[in-house]
Amino acid sequence: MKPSDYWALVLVFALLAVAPALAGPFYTRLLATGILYGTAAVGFNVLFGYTGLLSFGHAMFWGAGAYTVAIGMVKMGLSFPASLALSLLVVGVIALVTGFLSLRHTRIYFAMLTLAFGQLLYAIALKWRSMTGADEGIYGVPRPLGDVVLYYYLILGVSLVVLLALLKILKSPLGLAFRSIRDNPFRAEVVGYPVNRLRLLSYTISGLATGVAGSLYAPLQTSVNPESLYWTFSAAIVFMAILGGSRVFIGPFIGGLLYVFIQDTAMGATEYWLLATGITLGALILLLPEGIVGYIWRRLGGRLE
Amino acid sequence: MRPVLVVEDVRKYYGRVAAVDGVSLTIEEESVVGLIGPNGAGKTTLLDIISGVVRPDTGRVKLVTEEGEVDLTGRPISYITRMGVSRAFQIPNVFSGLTVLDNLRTALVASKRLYTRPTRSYESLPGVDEEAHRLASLVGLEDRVEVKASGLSHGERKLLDIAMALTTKPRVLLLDEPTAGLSAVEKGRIVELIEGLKRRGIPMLVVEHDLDVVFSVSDRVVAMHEGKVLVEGRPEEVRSDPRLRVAYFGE
Repeated sequence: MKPSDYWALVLVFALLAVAPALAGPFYTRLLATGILYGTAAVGFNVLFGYTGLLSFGHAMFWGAGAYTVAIGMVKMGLSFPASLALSLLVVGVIALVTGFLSLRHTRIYFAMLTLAFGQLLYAIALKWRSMTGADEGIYGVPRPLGDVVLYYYLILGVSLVVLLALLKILKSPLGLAFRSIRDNPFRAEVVGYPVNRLRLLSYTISGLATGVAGSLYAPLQTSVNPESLYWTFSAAIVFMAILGGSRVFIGPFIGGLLYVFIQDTAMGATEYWLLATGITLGALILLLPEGIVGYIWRRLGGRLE
Repeated sequence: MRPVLVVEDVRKYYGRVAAVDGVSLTIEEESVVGLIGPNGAGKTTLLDIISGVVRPDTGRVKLVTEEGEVDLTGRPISYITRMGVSRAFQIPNVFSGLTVLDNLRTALVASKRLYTRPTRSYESLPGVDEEAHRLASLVGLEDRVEVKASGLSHGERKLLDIAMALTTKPRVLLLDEPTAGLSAVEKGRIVELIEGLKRRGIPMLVVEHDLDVVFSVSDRVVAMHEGKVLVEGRPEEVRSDPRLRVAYFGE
């Protein structure tokens, strides 16, 4: 039987659903972070793997989501659902504006523009002390449902809904349009696609998915700080997608889960953990260019997108 | 016969060189116009102008529809395509990472504007699959639908390119060197295909180097030289015109 995107998703989430029973609170929390990283990376990959645009600023959506929820709950006294809704609105507006401006270019110029907008947001978070708490960030974000394990299941549920929605979109005519634009933007224009508008749509969908994941991250940590907007986290998201494999839907999600554990292990083992992750990525691209999940997928007879 | 596409006095300069220097031509209903000329005569630039890839410095391109004239000059490529001016390319221009079937599906999705329905699976769109298979068999690729376009031969890619151009049910079809680089057998298939399309009444503008092909499929032939129309007329008239020999071979 050939691997299917839906069944892979069901299998992975079934395993994640039983995981807290086996892991202690520390690993449950680590897994929750991994699920959010993974969801953010799948969101990133809608743009990267499926539409052919490398964003180097996806931390901006993650961080904007995290900050908006933190500000909503701590400073504005909103409930978690209301903060989440506000955060989607904020992330959506940021995506439309930065997308409109960045998508005047493609390839490296696009990547550089997204990097610049990401850093702009980072600078704002660092300077706007009354709103963002500057370099200290915001503390005391209440965790909905209180308990880490219960919140883990909330994260799991929301992530599943986000991923199913993304998969549905990617299997739809819109997803086919994205892949066509990735393959040959000029031909896509000639067959009649409004390429720029569809790129902006992909960018916005991608940003929203990453933003939802970031929004759920602040209550998990019960805090948020400017690191979540810094360009190194944008790079980490790119890393996750490539680590898992950008040509399989579930690839970046697994990449996000693995990243958390690589980071945790390497950080505990050596202060040069960034070097260690860098070497891992280099080795991976040379040895398994399609990513870990991509490799397994192809071996099982699955089709790479 | 009623005109379908009217090109009026278009010019395109690159620096001080005129790639197209005041060309007018008309494509009528159910007719095939052959466009010939030596390399650098401006044929592909003219196709680029008509299909919206290149904006002319002066002049107009108009489509004549049942509802009246539509000015296509300077409009976006995707608009011109959706209005019914389709193009196949000299170097086949397909989505190489997609299968033959998905190439046709995506072209159909674009022309029918079905991409605004993100909830349906693209594999189960009503009408799209039947149409995709019909077009695949029209160009003789019915046994290759599951092959990625990157795995097709050059000739098969050209056939796929033409099939994709047909997904819009074009009012006018622009073919840029449809037989370039093909074997004799593949060339035969393309000529047969063009004749089939002609019988269905699809107006065409065919740029072609193989003069035997042009003179056999065209109702009218336009010969360009150095950006201008040199000779125009019925195939046999153009063929025997001495100016053509001069343009191609010098004295």
